[in-house]
Parts: sequence; C-alpha cells; structure tokens
Amino acid sequence: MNGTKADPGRRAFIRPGIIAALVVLLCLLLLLAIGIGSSWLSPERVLRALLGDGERMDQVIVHTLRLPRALLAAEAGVCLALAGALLQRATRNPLASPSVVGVVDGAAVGVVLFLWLFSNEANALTVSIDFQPVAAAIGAVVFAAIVGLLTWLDDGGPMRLIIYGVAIAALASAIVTLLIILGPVYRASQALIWLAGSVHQAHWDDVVTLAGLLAMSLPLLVLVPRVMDQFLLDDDTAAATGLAVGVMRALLLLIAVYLTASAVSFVGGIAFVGLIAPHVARLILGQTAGPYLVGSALIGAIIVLASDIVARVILAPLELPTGAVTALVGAPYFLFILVRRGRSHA
Amino acid sequence: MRDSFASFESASVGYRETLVFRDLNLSLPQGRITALCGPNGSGKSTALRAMRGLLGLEAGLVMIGDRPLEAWSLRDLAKQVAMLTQAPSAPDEISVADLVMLGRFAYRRAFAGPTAEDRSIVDRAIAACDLGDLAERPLGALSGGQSQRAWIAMVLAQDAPVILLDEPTNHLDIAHALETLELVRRLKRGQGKSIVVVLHDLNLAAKYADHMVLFRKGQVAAEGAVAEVFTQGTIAKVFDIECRVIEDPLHGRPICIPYPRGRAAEHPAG
Repeated sequence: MNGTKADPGRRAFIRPGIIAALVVLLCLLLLLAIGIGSSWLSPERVLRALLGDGERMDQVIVHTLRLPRALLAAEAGVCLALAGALLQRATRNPLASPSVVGVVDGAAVGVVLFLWLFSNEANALTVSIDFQPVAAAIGAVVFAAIVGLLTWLDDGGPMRLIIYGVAIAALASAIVTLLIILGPVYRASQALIWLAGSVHQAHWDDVVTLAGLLAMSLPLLVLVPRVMDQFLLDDDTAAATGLAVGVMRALLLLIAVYLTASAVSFVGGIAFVGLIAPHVARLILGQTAGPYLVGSALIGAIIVLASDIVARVILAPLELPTGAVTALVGAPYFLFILVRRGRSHA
Repeated sequence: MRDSFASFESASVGYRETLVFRDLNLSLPQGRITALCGPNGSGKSTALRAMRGLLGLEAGLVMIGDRPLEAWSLRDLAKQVAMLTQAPSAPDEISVADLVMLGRFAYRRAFAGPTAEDRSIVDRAIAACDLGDLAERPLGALSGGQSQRAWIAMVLAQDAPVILLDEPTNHLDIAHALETLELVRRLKRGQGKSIVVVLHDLNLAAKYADHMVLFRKGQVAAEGAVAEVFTQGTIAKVFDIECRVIEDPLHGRPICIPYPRGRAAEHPAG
C-alpha cells in the first residue's frame, strides 16, 4: 500500500513543474522572437522597451512590429492546440485535428472568394483587407456546419464525423485550387501566403481581437475538463456513468470549431499544431483533462512562436510562411505517430 | 416474489427497422443476482442496455424503482443503476485509480477536485476488487482478469444499488471467470446490491445466479428461480439442442451437458 500512496504525490509534484517549465520556455521564446529581426535587440533591451524604458527606436520596433507578431503567433498556437485537444478527446481519435473537420479549408474558401470577389481590374481590393478575417470565419463556419449536418443526418459517431470532415475538406480545397487558377495572379500569391499560414502581417487590432475571442471561450474551457475526462471511456460506458454523450460531444466540437475559426481567420492554415501540441501534452502530462488542456495551449504557443522565429531566420532576409515550418516539422512527427501506432496495434 | 427494482412493461426495442424484442414484460427481483441467458440475438443484451437507458424503446415502459426511465435525470439514474458494458475501453496509460474515479462522475461538480467522500469510495471500490496493490498501475499493464476487476471497481465507485453486467466473463479463462463471478457474489452478499448479469455460459449462470431469465427470439421463454428454470425441457427448447441436466456433486447446483439435436440418443448416458 505504501508504494501506491507515493505515486500520485510524485505526479502532483511533477505536473506543475512541467507546466512551469513550459511557461518559462514560452517567455524565453517571446523575448527571442522580439529580439530577432533585421536589427538584433538583446533581451535586456527588449525587456526595457517592453517596460517603456528603452530607447525610442527600440520601443517602436518592439511595440509596432515585433510584439504584435509574437503575440499573434502565440495566441494562434493556443487556439489551434486547444481546438486539437478538444477534437482528439471528443472523437477519441488521437489523429484528429482541426484540419480534418473542414474548418481550415472552409476558411480558405472564404478568403480566396473574398480576394476574388473584391478585387478590381488593377488588382486592388475594393474593400478593406480588415474584412479578410470575417470572410475566413464565415467560410470556416459554413463548412464546419456542412460537416456537422452530414454527421447529424447520418446519426453517425465520431468516425463518421472524421470521414465527412476529410471529404468536405477535400471538396473545399478543390474549390480553393479552382478559384486560384481562375482568379487574378497577384491575388493568387496573396492567397497562397494565407493558405500556408502566416503571422507576418500582424497588427495590434488582430492581437486584441483574437485575444478577445480566446477570452470568450475561457468560461466554457474552465467547465469542460470533467466532461473531457469522461470521454476517455467508450460511449456506452461514459453514458452509464451519467454523461450526456451526444450533447457534450457536440459542445466540445463546437468549441473546437470556434477556436479553429478564430485562429485561422487571422493567421491562415498553420498546419499540424492542432495535431501535435495535444499529442506532446498527453505524452508529458498524461490524460487528465485539466493539465492536458493547459499543456496543449502552452505547447501550441511554443510551436507556432518557435516556427515563426525559424521562418524569419532560416532564409533571412527572405521570410517563409510560418505554416510551412510547422508543416516541415509536423509532417514527420505525424508519420512517427502513425508508424508507432501501427506497430503497437500489430 | 420479492420487491422488484426494475421492470419492463410491454416494452419493444429495435435497432433501426428490426425489432429485437416486442411486448416484453419482466420484473427483476431486488437484492439478488439475476442471470439473463439465451441464444445469440435473443435480446438479452438489448434488454440490459434498454434497462440502463442506452437504447430507446419503440413502445412500452422501463420502470426503474417507481418511475419510468425517462423521468430520471442522467445523473440520478447513474446513481441508481451502474453498468459494466460488453467491451469497455479506456486508454492504456490511465491508472486504475484514475479509471475508478471516473465512476464518480454523477456525484462530482464540474469545477472541483474529488471530495474526501469521492476518494474514500474509490479506495473502498479498489479494495473490494482486490486491486490495492495495483491502484497506480496503468490499465494497459493489467492481465485480463485484473482489468475486468478494475472495470468492476469503476462501476462500484458509482455507488449505485443496482449493477448491470453485460457478459463480464467474455474473453476470460475459466479461472478468471470464476474469480469475477465470486466478486459479483460478494457484492450481492456484502453490499446488498441487486445485480443483473448477461452470461453466455449456462453452467456459470446456474452456479452464481439466484434468479434466471431465459430469452428466445425476443421473448421471455422462462423465468424464475434457477432450480425451476434450469430444466432439461426448458433449456432444450430455448437453445434448440438436446441436453441432460445433472447435479454438481459438491454444491448441488444444476449443470447442463449439451448435445447437438438428435444426437443424445446415439450416446445414451451410462
């Protein structure tokens, strides 16, 4: 009996330690992200500028250019990772991610349609670019609704949801390709940057709006962990413990769609974050929903922020889209998960 | 007959178009082990699932206590009727203690850690299933019998007076099957639970059940105390076989020896 009592204590001690370490890592990356650029700012200068105590030039660089970009990257990472964590748990499928339920490709359709419809002959937009996130959000919601409706009509479970999601996402991405080919070339390149996912055009408005959207989901996120833990069980067993399986699954999926749509509206289709962050969180923090969600959020922010730093540095002065870097790292990791799962099932 | 804790009243249940059973009337006695037996597809598992509200009825009523099933809130029903499903699953990594705590869902608030009561009930459920030394073991590291005990502990933590078990001995070797049913019998005797168990193995059912319901083609073919139901004629009819029923030389429980139809006469006993 003694041995059994020691273990939960050890776990209770390790988990906050890991989370604290993730927070520290995130802060260091924020300093680095703000410091790196065409002119290098040492962490000390970054900190002084952040506190309003630095040189005027440093303050301009930090406040108008680099800080919003770093914050937007972190926020997008948090949204996508949380969405992935909710999806993976609600579908009981560790390979589910925001891109498989049609949300990301749906948003892409919104953006490409927007760029196409509101361009004039001179390749200029006839409305403000500020409406682009709105178009993305509409596209995301419409396509997510189609997937949801199909699954609901089919009376299907999570596996059907994923199958419909993949099919509808493929349809959306076909529409995007078609629109890009048919549309003006200049707009096509702009659309491609969005499609790959990028935070290079970050403005304070975006940062504030996305933070607001994220904050609005917090009351729900605080309430769902108990329910998410119950989704560790198969549906019948979960129902027998008193969980309203259908309603709660729909709720988790709705929150996930909301978070994904929020993020991709501003930063585009940054790939694999929603798949990998929850996976890493589960590996290092375990399955309990509270730490799992917190860890996913932090790891998501870390991945996108680190990817954006790499995207800016690796071919400087050229910049890669952030999403290209997450995909370069994420795709092999995804394969690794697949292979390992394949083995363990053999 | 003793008081019943649940009953079917003219209940019909179906998957999509086909009705699995029609017009079922059945009362289940309190404080006893009731075995539901019958051929594949006879409706025994469906009856169990309907009793837990996992399947809707096409017509009729399932009464739990003095109220129809639909009148119970999900949480109250979970506190009244716990169920071990046929193929329960959870991630290999979670510990036995964490799994058992999931049984407390109906009692816990959305935003709070487990209470002292939750913890003590989980500890007792783990102890009742002899899992004290394995509480922090991940589920994936348990043997078949151990993991079945872990699931039963999860069901026990639900602290419900009624426990439904859907083929709990499936995939278990005979030693683990006996061990599992001994545990079920202890729960009845020690904690006064009312237990309904779907069992494929007739002889295990006869050994552990007090009350037996035999299903055939969506109907109750026979029902009553084991000694009344477990007869050569009834079993032969329900399963469409020939058989001999003899007495367990140690405990006097009936044992059925089955033969294919028309073959019993070829090999006369003795």
